[in-house]
Amino acid sequence: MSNAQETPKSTLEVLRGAVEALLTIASQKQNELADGIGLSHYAVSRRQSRRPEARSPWSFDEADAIARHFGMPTLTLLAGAETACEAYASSRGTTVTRLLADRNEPSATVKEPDSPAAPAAAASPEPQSSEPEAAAVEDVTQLPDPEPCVLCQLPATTALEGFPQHVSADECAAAADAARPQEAPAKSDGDQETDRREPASTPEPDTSQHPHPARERRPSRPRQERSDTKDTAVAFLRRNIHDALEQHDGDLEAAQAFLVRKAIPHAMELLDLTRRSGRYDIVAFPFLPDILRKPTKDKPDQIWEARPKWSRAWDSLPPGSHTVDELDINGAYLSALKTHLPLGELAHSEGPIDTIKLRRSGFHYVTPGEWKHEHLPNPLGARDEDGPLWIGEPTLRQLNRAASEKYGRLCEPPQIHESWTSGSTEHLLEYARAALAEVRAEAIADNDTVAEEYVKAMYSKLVSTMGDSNYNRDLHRPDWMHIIRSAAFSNLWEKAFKANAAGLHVVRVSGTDELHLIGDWRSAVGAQGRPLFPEGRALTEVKLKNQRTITTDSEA
Amino acid sequence: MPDRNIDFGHYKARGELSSLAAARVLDTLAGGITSPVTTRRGLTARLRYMTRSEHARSLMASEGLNPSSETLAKWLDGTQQPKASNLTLIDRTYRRMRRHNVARYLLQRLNAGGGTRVEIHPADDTSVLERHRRRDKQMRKINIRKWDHIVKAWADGAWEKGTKAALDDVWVDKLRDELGSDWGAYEYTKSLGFNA
Repeated sequence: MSNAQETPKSTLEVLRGAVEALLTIASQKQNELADGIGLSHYAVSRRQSRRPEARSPWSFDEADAIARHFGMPTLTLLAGAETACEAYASSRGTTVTRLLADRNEPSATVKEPDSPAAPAAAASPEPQSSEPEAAAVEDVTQLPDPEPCVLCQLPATTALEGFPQHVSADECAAAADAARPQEAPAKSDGDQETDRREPASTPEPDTSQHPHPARERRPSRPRQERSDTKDTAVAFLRRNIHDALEQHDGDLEAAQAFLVRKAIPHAMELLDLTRRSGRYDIVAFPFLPDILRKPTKDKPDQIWEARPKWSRAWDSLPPGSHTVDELDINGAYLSALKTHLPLGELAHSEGPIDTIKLRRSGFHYVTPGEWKHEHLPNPLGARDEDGPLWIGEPTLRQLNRAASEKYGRLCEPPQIHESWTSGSTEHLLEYARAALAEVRAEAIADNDTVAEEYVKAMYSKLVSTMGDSNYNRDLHRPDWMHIIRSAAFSNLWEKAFKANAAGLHVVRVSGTDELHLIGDWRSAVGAQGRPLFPEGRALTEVKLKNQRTITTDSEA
Repeated sequence: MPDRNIDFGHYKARGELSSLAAARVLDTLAGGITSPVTTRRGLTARLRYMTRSEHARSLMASEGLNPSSETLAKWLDGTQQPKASNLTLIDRTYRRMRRHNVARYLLQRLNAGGGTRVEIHPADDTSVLERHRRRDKQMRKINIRKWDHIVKAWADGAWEKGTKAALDDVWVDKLRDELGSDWGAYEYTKSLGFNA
């Protein structure tokens, strides 16, 4: 370690350090620097990035521009953070400590909000003091000439996302104070002005609670036109149901049988519909690694989906008589369609891989950590053997979450040996899922069994036939099938974990959607104070299937 | 117009001749008996299939499998197990007959509804040096409307006996029609599928 510290810094590191220090003492943001040296904000952010893999180098010309921006010779800038800061401070006629003190003292800077000579000082002093507000001034740019603020109509020298306005409510008030003496001669007008402004300034105490006080009152701006993909998909499903009913002269059973029979081709058509304007095309027949190939027709491939099949050992329950409520998760596979699916063909990699950061998804050969808990099932499911195994992305992420601080380090994180992954997105089947969910909700509200069964057949058959199936030759993605199933199991484990955290006893977790609990689950609340298990038939709710009573003795 | 690859794999690209890949996909579409010929069940099923009728028997003979009726009876009732060489011959002959019999129905299915979409991935060149790589190649989805020639060349079975040219010619013709001058990137493929 000591050796590493002694190696001299590279010039680029020195420059990066100097730029960062200068931005700090000058109270400037990266985008202000970007405007000053004629680069895009994105480019500056890349050059100053802390992550080595995302970083790009500064060029000599750019270094010259930075030096000009801060008013010093280039060599001073390259001499290091300390020298550069001192040069900057002395060019302003102060010292570094003074500048730093000014930066931390809000009142010192508020006094000169309109002076364009000190753009750094004009940037809101408050954001530095409180974290949530810092986000609100991300896109602040300095205007060369003051323009009317969109909030209070008084001249402002800053713009937020291109709209001239004061950065905070305090600055609006300061500008109003500054403007009042000038308005005094035109008395009647001035009074009206202040009257009119009164209501606007009264809610000010509230603004401290909202992280974005300015955003709520901002005039609406042209948005990107909303996609109507989901509506098209919903219309497609409704039309199919309507047509089937008409074809069978209102014979509900016949129509339902017909729709269920047509579920696979309809699901494929739905997928095509929802990808019409999508960025990614669905790759239906990618190259598959050997781990995903079935050796024979009835032998499985090598992926472990982590299907739960767990019952709690009775002697770990407190003695006495308990009522076990058997809960059923609604539409587990439908919800699981929203998961990180690999887009293209899977590529091989060796060793640990951070799939979240790289936005990849796929399969991993891991050695899982040991699971020693009696009150919770292993996220890896019911496994008879030990040793390394191939798991899908949702299982890996679940294991990593279980190993995290937030979950109380339930196990060691899994060790990844090799992976087959591809760039992933969570939105591939999202429109299809949303459309199916909407039609399902409608069907439940209208008590429409035909539509309900149709939707159920569509999503369940889509998942079960998207791999190797003679019934669906339009899509050959066993990887998606495994990942979607793993996602459903992982969602169920998450529910079991939350139930346990809320003080309920988890007795059984099995299948895709079975969760057996002891305790008052109806009044259990989660982290945000929302009920954990609302009862009903919606996708976010649970259904009580059965109740049974068990008695455990301390002897047993 | 580019011509075929002269020495595919010279720069360490990997892939399968796409006409053969297509023939393989057609084979899976044709389906058939899944039990392997080495099992009793698979063997009996194949022999029954090939000796169902006089016509079938003569077809079997023309394919080169012509056991005497005694041998056939012994094979069928299990008193005699075919030699290993005969087992492979039985399997190959069965597959050829199956192709021949299924061709008409398969052609109908491939041509129906305006043709069949083929998804074709270019050869795998991840181990090829950057400067030898072909740029801008990606997965393509093409629609083949008329499958008559392809299915005929496939059902003929000559490609399996070593003369790949006939099948390859009709397949490359189709590729050329659909992909234009870019077809060369898809002469060899990493993965190929039909949604039929």
